[in-house]
Amino acid sequence: MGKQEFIQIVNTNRGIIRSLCKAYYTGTEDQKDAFQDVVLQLWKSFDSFRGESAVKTWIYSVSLKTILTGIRKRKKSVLTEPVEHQHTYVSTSGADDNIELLAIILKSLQEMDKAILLLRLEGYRNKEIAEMLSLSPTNISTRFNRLKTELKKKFNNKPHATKQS
Amino acid sequence: MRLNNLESAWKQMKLLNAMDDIDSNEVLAIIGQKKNLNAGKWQRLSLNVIMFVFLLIICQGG
Repeated sequence: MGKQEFIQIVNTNRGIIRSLCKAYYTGTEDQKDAFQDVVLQLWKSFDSFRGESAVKTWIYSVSLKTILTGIRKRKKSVLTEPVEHQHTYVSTSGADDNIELLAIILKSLQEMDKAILLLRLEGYRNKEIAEMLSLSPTNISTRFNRLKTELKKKFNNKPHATKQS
Repeated sequence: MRLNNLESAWKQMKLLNAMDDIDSNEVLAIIGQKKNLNAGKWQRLSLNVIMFVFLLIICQGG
């Protein structure tokens, strides 16, 4: 598989890669660095990718592992503001509300919880997520249930959690 | 708050972030770093081997 094919795959999945970088890093430079790290790791694992899993699964798996390793290595403090400090940024303009709400939720989560939530939103099941993040399915299930409970507690009573027209 | 809402939000987020194409040259430049990194690794390894051999010879002579 050649460079052109790789470029095409990266281009097709640029939305996923950029969104994951933005979910973990707030600074533009950090996001660019993370993007470069992810693309480099994807290229390194491109030869061993034989299409046994879907391209999207491979992209998610490599991207998240790279980002999580990068954060651990750099020991960079990723923004994890308490939710109470953040809900004031939310506008009340219809459909964008959900995007802002998601952004706020992502910023408030720990790295691994964030990965689990994003993979769940993408439609992956616990077993698949466990394989992608090298954790046990039980661990994923426990973490996700705890995460759901926390999110419900935090956001069900917030004004931006309901649609306002 | 429902996960369905967040699912559609994640979809929208991905679409927004996919609006600008990626420059092929940018990807090629990133990929090119791999070669440079490997080159640097071999250079360091060679230097360390030479230093090790040099020290081995010096120590044996004493």
